[in-house]
Amino acid sequence: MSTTYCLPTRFGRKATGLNPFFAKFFEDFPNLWLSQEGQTEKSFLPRLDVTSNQENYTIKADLPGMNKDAVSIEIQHGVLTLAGEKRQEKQEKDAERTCHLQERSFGAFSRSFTLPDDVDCEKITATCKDGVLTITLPRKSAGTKQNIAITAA
Amino acid sequence: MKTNERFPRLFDECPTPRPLRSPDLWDELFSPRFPMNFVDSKTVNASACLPKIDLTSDEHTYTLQAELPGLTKDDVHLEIEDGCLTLHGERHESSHSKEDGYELHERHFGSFTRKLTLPEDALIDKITASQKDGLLTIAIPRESKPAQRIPVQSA
Repeated sequence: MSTTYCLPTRFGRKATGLNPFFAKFFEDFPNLWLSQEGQTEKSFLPRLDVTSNQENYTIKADLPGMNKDAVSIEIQHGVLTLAGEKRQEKQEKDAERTCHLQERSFGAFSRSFTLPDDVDCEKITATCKDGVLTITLPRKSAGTKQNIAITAA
Repeated sequence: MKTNERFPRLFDECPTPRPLRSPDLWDELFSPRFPMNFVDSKTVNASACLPKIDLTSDEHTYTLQAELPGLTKDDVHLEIEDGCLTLHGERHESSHSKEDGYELHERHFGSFTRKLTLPEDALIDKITASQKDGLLTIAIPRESKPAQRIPVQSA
């Protein structure tokens, strides 16, 4: 089973120093991937929303027909990876069934995010309800300034 | 599972807004209507918020599965009128996320309607529906009619 991947998505900071054309391209990349054209391969990639306020970043993923056991969330080197597999539920006498309409897509997927520096990785929580996964990433309060004294040699 | 290639217009969809986009981006770029059609976000969004549906059948039942992430059974309405099954509902964006700033916005919100003409052998009175993990499953039992025998009379 092949897994559908997507480039790591950055959020919480503006792409700087990039030519506006490329900045726009990278911004649109997941959308291009998820467009109707991309669906022809019948591979599944969950649609995501990322929002932020002063306290949290929130990631919401549409995972219809999946429960919490079908997804995993990992953080390594400041990159959060949401992975899982959307399986077609086996029905009785599957081979004998006739398919009239097939719009849903299935398969393994993986999406990654480069986390902003102010995410408190220890306090990340996730819930899954009605096929929507919500990951809450609390932001560290504005860090206290640290003064480093310069000692005379 | 075998695919019904020769779709016998068993289930017709009533007209719903569909994107006018060709399947290939390159076709799109070189098509004469490129400047007008290239970005038509309105039609794309109208189609994108339609729930995705799978429809299968065996000899006893038609099974319809619709993806409705984030919707509870109270948000979805099913109606049958004149042999036409209508699935409609609305997906609301939580007020919480409206207030917050979007960093990435791929999910779709809004109201949707999909209609399917039921086949003649559907037992409309015995349709059942259940919703779990954002997946709506509708079971439509089929009427099992014994094959009609035609007696051959001697001339």
